Amino acid sequence: MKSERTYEAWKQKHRQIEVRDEFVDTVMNQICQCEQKKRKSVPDMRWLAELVSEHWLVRAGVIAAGAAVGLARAAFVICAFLRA
Amino acid sequence: MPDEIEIIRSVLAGDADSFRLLVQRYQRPVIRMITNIVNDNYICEDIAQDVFLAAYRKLGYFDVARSSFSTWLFTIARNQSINALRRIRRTSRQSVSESGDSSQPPDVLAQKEFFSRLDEALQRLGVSQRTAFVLAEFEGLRYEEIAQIEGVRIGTIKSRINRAKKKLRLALKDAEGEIL
Repeated sequence: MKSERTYEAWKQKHRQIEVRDEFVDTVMNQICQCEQKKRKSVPDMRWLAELVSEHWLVRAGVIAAGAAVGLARAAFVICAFLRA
Repeated sequence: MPDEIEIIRSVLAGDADSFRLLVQRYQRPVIRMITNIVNDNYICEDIAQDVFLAAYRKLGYFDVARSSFSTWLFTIARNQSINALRRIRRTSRQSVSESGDSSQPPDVLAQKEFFSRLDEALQRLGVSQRTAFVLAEFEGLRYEEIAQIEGVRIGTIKSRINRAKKKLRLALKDAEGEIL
């Protein structure tokens, strides 16, 4: 049947498509740019992690600073409660 | 060629360049699908680039237990195509009719006219029918895969495809009456 052949030929035409050779490179360049942006937006804090994990004195300092902040916060809350 | 899951693991482990293998493997079906849904050669490649970029960014969310990578990628492509269609909101389609070229044999001219009518009929289909038809007839996907991509039941997909086919065959019949 002619119309059936035409219909199949039309489907076949839609299945064939030209893709530029550079398409993959274009996508990979965009991904590369995306990765670079990501790296720029997140500051590299590995040096800090290394410093904390390697020196006990630094670790003690960080813990002491955290404890001091916690105590200050607790004192502030207690003061606010007593005033009210 | 390495297995897709291996490639995905490698990309997630930080080897972004491995993603190239996935782009190489799927560039043709993704571009073809977008072209057939959006019907705009100028923007389909841009949409395809966005699809691969989105896939790269969301790769961590891909769950192999839920779907195959191709189904997941086609879902992204389908959503981006529909978004693009909403942006374009074209009221009239640019129809490239070459029927005026009298240097071609009558058979070739008639076939071009038939193709043009079928293209118009395809574009007149609703987005859901067109997407289901394109995925089934041009991409050769199974109904289960299409149902997963569209997020509906298989029965719905079957009915969408049947209705789309009926409309296209009707358009072809009408064209036969006019052209031949």
